[in-house]
Amino acid sequence: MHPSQMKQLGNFYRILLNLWLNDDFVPRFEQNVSQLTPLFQEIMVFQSDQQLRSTAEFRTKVMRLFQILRGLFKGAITHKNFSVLFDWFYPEYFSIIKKCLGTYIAPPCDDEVVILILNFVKELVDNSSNRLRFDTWSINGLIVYKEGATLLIQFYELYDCLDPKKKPLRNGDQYKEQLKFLKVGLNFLERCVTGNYINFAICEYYNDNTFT
Amino acid sequence: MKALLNQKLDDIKNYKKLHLQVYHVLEEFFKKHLELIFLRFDFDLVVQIIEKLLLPGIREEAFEIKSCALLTIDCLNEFIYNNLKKPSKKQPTMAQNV
Repeated sequence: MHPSQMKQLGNFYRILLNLWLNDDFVPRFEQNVSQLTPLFQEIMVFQSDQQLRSTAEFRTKVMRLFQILRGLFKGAITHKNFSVLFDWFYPEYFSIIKKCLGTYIAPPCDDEVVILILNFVKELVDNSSNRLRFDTWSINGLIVYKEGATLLIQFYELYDCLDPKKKPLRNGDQYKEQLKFLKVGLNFLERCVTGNYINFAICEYYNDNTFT
Repeated sequence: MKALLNQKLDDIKNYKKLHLQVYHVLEEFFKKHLELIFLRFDFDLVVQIIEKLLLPGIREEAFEIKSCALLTIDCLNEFIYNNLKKPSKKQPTMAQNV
């Protein structure tokens, strides 16, 4: 699949999600979304990271999956839609992010796939439409923030905060190989700080170091 | 923040959107989380942010960047002034750091 088509795939699923979560079809949401299960299973079945990384076919599958997921979460702009989608995704399929990131993050970093995964994580913490709330019985906001921060920290720690010595330029393109990662990190931080769905004092109170 | 300081500002300047975003994030962060900065951050890092990013930001030609940098410094000054005037009793460590 051509990279430009890959982006369209995300858009397609963004629109499709709105149909799936239409009031008339919500009861059949699980059934509709289950068409993605084989794709998840194909990737999860690989025990060895090396095996997963060495196959070009699987690289494409991973990229396809994250474009689809990004499209889906982009489409879930209301609190209700986000809750339905997130309840399906977490915790059953959430581990796939960690698995794929862990696989492609290892030096030499596969920049294209890692950026795609981090962009998806960035999409998760977006609260521009007030879809994430820290209600009495909804901790989706906190989960999304905590898991997202853990993934991003994993990347930044491995490359010592984009230290040029740890992550040297391989193709000479500074934007694609370094600054793009900085951009994703800044976007993530901005969305968390301005999202108003986490009470950071709680983290301090419970000695949770995710934020610091 | 460390990742930001690891990059040369001149390289970031070549990308207008990214350059502006750096100052936006700093402004938001300093507006809302100064307590955290004084409680947990290594102060050398804060000094480096001020010296390498905020002060050059004030001298930028682009109005938005200049404004973000000035607002960030204003937040910092206000916080320090208020805390020196009335040190926080809830968080003595922070008051001491200030």
